Amino acid sequence: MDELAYLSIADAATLIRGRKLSPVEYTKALIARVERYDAKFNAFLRFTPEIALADAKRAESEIMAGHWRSAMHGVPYGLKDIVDYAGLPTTAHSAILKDNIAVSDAFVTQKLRAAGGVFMGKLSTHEFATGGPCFDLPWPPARNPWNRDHFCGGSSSGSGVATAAGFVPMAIGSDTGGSIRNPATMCGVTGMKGTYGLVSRRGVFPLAYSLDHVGPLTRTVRDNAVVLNIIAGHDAADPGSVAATHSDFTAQIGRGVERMRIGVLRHFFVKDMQADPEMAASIEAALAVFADLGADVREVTTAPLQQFGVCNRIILAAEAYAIHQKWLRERPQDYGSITRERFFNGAVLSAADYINATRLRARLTRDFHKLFEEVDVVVTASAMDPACRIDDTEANEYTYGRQARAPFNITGSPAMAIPTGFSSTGLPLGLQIVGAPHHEALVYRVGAAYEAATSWTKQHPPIQ
Amino acid sequence: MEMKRYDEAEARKLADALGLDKLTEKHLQQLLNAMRVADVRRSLLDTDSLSPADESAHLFRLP
Repeated sequence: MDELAYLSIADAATLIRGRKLSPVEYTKALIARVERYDAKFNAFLRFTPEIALADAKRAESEIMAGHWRSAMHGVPYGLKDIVDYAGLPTTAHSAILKDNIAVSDAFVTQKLRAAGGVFMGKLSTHEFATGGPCFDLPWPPARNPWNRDHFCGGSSSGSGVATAAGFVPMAIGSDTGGSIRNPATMCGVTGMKGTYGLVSRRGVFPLAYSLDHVGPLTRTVRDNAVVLNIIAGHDAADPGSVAATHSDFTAQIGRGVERMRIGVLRHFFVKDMQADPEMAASIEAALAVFADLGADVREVTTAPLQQFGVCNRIILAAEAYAIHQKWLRERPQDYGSITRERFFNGAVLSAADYINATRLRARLTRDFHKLFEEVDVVVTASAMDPACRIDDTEANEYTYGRQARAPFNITGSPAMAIPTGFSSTGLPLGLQIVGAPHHEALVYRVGAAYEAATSWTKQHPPIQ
Repeated sequence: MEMKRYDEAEARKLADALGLDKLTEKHLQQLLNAMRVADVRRSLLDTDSLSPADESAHLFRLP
């Protein structure tokens, strides 16, 4: 069963297209795995094996008739439960929306259904993509597949867990201050948020309009690029959607990094914040791999991490409060404790606070983008610490802000988290690769070169 | 920079002004925490370096 559980999308697509793997058998194997193990990890909020089997049977019939649609045809996936799937509840993991039935598919759901994907269900999230891990919600929080006593990251927590645990080869997440990249790092998988507006947000419950991104979590870099090819694209119904067409995100994979200029934002994790020694060492070791592969690795600097962080938090809190004000007035008790306090952070800000943060955002973005005149990509930390215990409230509070992901929600840059090994306690470590706007293909190229030179993505959690 | 010290009465006053009239004592404590957090964030925001010509990242644009 593990063989199918950890099959890459690229390999599955080859086998399925060549009629050497039945989408129905593949789906049944993953359904059995979820049924056997997910009670320990809570990745799924709503598991839908009946839909998955129907999708798989349809895919198999089409492929047998010679109609192969895409690399996702007959391949299982999950959606973070803020993403609409018509006819199913979109709860955002909250009592506030527990009866909220989606009337239509999100743009990203439409794309995956049109691609022939097999829908396995809705995945756990921090409440409204922000408040977690929380134990006072209608459903329990997801747990780390490497050690279920530890936090799995968030807010796309179920997406990270389901991908790492071999329940699905791909899950959709969202990212407003790091919510795709955090579970990717904590669970040891690959998570990408593309350029702001590259993937439509239509049908995805908003957290903060100007910071929200939608993207895939996968086990390999190539799989991530394959999925982004499918879900990216202009959507006139999303006012933030980029009008430009995109090229093939897999196009540069395999070209290596020789003579590429890799900038290191070391001050983010050495000076502005001090990363855990094992995390910092794993990033330095990865930089040595890039140098060995022939890259020109050089240090670069930008504004202090704290400036990006505070800017992100003020904009996020203000925009989120505007969305939740009515419910906070009418049903404050229906929010989880962490979520309610985070949304109150927006209630107490002034209009000037918000506007000043957006003014600073413009300058931070302009200055950061200048780096790409001297380097091709930037590498920095994702999380400062490996996953803490899920029941350690103080540690969760402490590590919540210890990250270098929020800067790239501020700048709207493509940013991908990839695994870089394990702590001495067996928990995943990781880093981020960041590109100039619309340079996702280059980010994937760098990530794939590292992945090919190491073996981290071939290691899987000891689930039993 | 020394932070202002808020008390529960101020949190209650703010809650009333915001129309948050269904808050429990626990919720008010959370609002109080949020007031303190907002002050810290405000103090960290580098507004002194902004000139009047530094415009918002979110500009109104006609199609």
